Amino acid sequence: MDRRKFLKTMGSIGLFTIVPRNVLGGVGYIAPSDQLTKGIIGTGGIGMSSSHFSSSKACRLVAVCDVDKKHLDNAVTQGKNLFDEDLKAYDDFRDLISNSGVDIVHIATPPHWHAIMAIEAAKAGKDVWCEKPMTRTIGEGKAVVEAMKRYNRIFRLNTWFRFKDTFYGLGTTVQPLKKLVDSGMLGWPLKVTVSGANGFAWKFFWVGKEHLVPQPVPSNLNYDMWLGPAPFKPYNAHRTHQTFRGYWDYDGGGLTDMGQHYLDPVQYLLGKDDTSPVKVEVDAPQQHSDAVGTWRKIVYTYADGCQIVLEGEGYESKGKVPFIEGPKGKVFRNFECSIPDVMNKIAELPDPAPQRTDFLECVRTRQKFALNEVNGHRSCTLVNMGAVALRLNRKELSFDPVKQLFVNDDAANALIDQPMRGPWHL
Amino acid sequence: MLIVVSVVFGLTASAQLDSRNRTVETVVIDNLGQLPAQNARKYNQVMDELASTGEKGITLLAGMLGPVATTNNATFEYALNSVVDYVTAAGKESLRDGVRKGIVNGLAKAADKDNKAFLLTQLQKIATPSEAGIFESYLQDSYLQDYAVRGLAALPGIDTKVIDLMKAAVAPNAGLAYIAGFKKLQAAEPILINWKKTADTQTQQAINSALASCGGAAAIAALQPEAAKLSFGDDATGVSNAYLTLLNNCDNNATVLSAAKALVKAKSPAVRCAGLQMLLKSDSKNAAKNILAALKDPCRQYRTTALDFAKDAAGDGIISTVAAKSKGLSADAQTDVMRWLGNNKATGQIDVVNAAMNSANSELAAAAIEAAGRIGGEKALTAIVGQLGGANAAAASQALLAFNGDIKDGVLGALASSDDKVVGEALKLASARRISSAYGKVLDLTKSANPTIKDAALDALKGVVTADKFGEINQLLGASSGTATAKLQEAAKSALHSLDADRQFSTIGNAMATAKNAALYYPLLAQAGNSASIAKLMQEYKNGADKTAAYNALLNVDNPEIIPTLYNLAKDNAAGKDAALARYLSLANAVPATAEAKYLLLSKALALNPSARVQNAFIKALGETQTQSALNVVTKYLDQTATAAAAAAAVKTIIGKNEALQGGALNKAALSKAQAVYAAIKANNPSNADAGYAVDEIKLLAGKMGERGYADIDNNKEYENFELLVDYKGAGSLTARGIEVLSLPESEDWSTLYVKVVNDRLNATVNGSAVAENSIIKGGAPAGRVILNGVQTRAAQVKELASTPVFTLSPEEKEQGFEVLFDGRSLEKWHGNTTSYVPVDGNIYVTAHYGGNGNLYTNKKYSDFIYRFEFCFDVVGVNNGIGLRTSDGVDAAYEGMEIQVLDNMADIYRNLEPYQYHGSVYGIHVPVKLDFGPIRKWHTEEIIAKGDYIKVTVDSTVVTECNIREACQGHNVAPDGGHVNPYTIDHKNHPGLFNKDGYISFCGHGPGVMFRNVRILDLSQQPAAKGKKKGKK
Repeated sequence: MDRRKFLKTMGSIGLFTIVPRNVLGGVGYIAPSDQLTKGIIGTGGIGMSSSHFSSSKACRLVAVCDVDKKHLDNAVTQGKNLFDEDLKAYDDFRDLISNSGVDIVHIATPPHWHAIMAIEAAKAGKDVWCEKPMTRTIGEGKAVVEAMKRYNRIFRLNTWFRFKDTFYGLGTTVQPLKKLVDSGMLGWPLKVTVSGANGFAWKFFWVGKEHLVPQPVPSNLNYDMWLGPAPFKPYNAHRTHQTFRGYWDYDGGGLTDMGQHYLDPVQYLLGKDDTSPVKVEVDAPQQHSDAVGTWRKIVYTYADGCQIVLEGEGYESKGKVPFIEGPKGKVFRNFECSIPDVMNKIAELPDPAPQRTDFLECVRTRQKFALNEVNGHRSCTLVNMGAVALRLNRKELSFDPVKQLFVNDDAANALIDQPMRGPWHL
Repeated sequence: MLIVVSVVFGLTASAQLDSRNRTVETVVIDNLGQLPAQNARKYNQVMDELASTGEKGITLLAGMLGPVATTNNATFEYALNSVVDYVTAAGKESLRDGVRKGIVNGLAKAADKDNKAFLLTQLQKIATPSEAGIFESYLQDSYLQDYAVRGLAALPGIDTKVIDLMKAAVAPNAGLAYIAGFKKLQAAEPILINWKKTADTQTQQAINSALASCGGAAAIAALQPEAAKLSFGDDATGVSNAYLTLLNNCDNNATVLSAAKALVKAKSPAVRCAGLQMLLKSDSKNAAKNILAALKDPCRQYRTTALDFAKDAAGDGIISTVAAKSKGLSADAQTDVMRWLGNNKATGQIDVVNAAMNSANSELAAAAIEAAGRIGGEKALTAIVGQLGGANAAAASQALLAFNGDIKDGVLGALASSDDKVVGEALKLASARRISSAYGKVLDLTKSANPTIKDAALDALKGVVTADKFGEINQLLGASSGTATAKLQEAAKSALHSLDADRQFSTIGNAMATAKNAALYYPLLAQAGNSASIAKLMQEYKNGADKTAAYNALLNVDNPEIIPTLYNLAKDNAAGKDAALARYLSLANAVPATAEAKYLLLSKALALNPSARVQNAFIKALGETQTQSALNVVTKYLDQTATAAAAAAAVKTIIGKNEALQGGALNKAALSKAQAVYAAIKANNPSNADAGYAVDEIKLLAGKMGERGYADIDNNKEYENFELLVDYKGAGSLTARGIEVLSLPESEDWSTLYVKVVNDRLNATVNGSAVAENSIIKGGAPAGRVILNGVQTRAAQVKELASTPVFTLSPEEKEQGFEVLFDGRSLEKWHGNTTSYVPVDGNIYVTAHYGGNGNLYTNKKYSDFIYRFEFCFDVVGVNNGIGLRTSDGVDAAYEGMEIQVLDNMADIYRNLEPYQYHGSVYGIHVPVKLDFGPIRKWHTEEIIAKGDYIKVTVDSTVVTECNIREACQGHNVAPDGGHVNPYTIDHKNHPGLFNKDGYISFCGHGPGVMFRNVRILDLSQQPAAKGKKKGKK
């Protein structure tokens, strides 16, 4: 009996009480019934990185998909070498998704595919692990939220600084910052500056080329499928694979690459997981229609006056800049704080409400992951608000966080729900 | 410079010629030259001008797009894309029509399919229903139909048109279905349903998706049988999802309910979840019953769906209903319920939650504990504390750390427990939460007979101790041994932590004075970290009880004042070098300092040659200074394998981030070496994408590298304009152009001097702080050797800058006796505002950079003369003037006279009075109005002043020729002595109009105008006949 059948049978009998894992086989033991499986769509850079291209007893990698045969073949070989798995290989993600042996669909494609794939996976009853940025448009994010809700799927957006790891130049995890912010010791509203001066580097090498000479499509690449919902433009290698972030049709440069890493924890810190800013202001050189360029400054303002300032190319504050600045105090790099003895003061306060940070455990217990489609969509909205203002070369856009629409700007709203290239749709 | 006008901002009416009399072609070309715009001001200016060219200009612009295979269209794309976006903004409606028409014309004329695609994308953004036909005409074009579909989908106001197209379609059409769906066209429903009969799979998918967004009851009925056949599962046509979407949006509860009942029986758990949501929503009367029934389902997905949507369906009351029934559920279902109660902070159900903590099922018990922590309150606290001794102690402890409320009372209670395990957990919590009221109890426990408790209590002391308890801790510390010592040191540090460094030091000093073992206090001194503590630790390091401990303590001092000490430690102690320098680096990185000061700090330490690991950290930090000095240092590390990668990264950072360093043979060589390093990394490990990007990035940078850059100083070379970068020690001076130009502030250690000498100006910084700004070099030779006098130097480099173009008189002017007043290099023949008037590239540039105000005057006074110069407007709307026969600090227009210099073509000067135009004798005589054409063009001007005779010629047009006495009928001031003078055109008094002589001046300090080749023929010094003859040529 394969694992799948075992699960199904068990589900229909339903009389069997699962013995706690640690009782049956000692700590770390995974009962076969608890073993999950995953398939990776997109086996280029991120999909093949060691933290994602992984297989374990808790979650076996069973399938891979890519539209570039070289990527796919490499993934299959690596699967054999690293995990001794005969990976199912697909060139059409829909086939991977409809494979009944896959529990979790891991989306590691360029962002223009994320929403379609996540929704397809939800329809097929899969749970989803999605790389950042969550979606390429605000409208796609809304659609993902709806689909996950309708089919009650577990979704993980993959950035993690809101719950683990040192948060760039801050030299600390976000948790003590969260405690400090929640304590009110800094006052309100707060201004958060995400700047090179605080260790947050924007990857401005992700710029596109404004003039791409058409090239023949390599025989190993299904370019039409690579483009998917994006408008058809003549092939040039720079559009695809490791440099796709430089083109608005698929992504949005350093902002969309690093933005969710940097901004998601800030939304969490400020308690803005269920809302969005009411204004975005951009200072940037003129942007090209196709190729993403750089920017100098992006400022988000919330209804309560909280602000997030992103400092970009050539705009890093010189010298010492607070990461968080409130009317009563400031926090700098390395958790240096203008409030004396602050670590002891926040130690007295309860930790923030626990976050559920074990994705596989969330899948098993059907609890929302710490960074899920709902708060993930909200932090991705920050990124996409900036991208819209940049693309339109607007100095300023107003936003309605409830309707999730820009105010009094049809052109900006046209970028919230963008028609897709056939036959793709949300 | 004098301008009193009503300034009118706004758009130029779209006309064949704009206010500058430029044709549309010229406007387009002028503006293309400024793209991509670097900031919003420029962007708005360019886009406004482009949009104002209307249909004609935009058509022209669109026509510039060439075949993508052979043309670089980037600039045209910048222009077209942005001008379209620009006019879509609120307030720009009036400009839209012309732009739209231009795009439509361009589309009609475009031959290349990719250009058509681009223009269709642009049209999509500004199309009106009138353009629907244009998109429609591309629906059959295999390459462009997709652009057409998107254009129609995005175009509002064409619903009827779309329905007509659908009706006329010969077969089901996926594109039209998509348009109808995107627009949510209800009227499309019957057509789409009808199409389903004959559609292939792909079209079915489009139809189903469209129906999902525009359909209603009929679509539900039509899709139901197909979906049911699939047991509502997923397939290539997406019919089930469409069916579910429609039901989800359906407000007919009966329809939804009957469908939901079938859905919850489907095979797919996800479909069942969707069905359950609908069931709960459509049957609110039975919601509670349905939720309770669902909780008995074996599928966790199904149960959690019931819980997730319970409150929406059945109201808040459902919480107590479910809680009350939870005991009867399976352990798994109870676990779900506990998590749900916790997520909802169900305060009222704490008893149910607490009861579940004692379940034999560990997952359920843990879920209950976590939920109680989220819920909070006294009862929850007691219950969780009660778990500290059991199998779920870890979960309980975790829950208490994040407990929703104060845990003090619970922890104090637990410390008194007879269960050692409970006490152990409580000690950790007391410490973590800084429960200082537990201090006494914790202190007692340090005397526990149970070694585990004793140890835990010693650990916990640091969290509960306060400053007033230092004495007690100190006593324990003095008497301590073994592992207790380190724990008590931590406690002592913690006790002192809230005091300022000086008080910490004095308290520690008192304790040390009577202590047997001074070494016990080193970590405390390290925490205090003030200069006295550092000195004390150094003393202990040299002669103290435990040198190693003192050394380690020094490395823990968190005060930049210790940086020099760390340097000495590293220098004198090979074994500890790495540790000392690593610490040095982390402190140096945190010091706020100029890039130059940081470079000195870092390079000094790096020279001590630590291990490669530490070298690499220093190299990275040097890269972040983005200075040439740092570049010179890191370049040396490119050759060593262990440091090559870090050095390559630093080189790339420095040159990439500092545009001023993008040039010269030295830096080009550094860059190409760095590229080779990355290429080798990539070759060794092809999957290292970062190295690949780095190679690309460097290639891009290499393309930007100019010719000029730093090179080692040539002591025999004579430099004219240059930048100098050198480290020096001592005191001395700098010689350039044969004279001493700067005295160098004394520096004991190495300092970095940067000097820029251009034209007659010198700017200099030492360690990044300005020591000379825009100072004027007086005298000296045109060029000379660069010599540093009296100081020790290292790494002297010079970047040679372009020579200043020097103006010399034509043989004819020379023969006539003209004198050069400005030769391009210096303002030595001038006085006044030499701060805002700066020689730049051979011109006098009026800049706002250095502050300064007032006018620039000739050193000599002139009465009759021929004054020749060239001028250029660098920005739109420049306003300056040439003052004649005037004196220092007065308004030349009245105290003398002013020949206006003004960009009178600028839109802001549209309402100018004619006597204010360029070339007027301001307020006295109206000139011929000039058309300057585009800005940034040089114009020649000649002013002849001979007694009352004034003649102004610009670019060989005589704009003014008049007799100033006749122009005001001899009344330069009002005969009645009043303020209104009926005889002057501006009705003002001009008391200085008939001055016999005075200075010639540049009037005004608004930035953006340049002058050059300024020369004069002083007619009063000439034989009359000669001057007259030449003057009237």
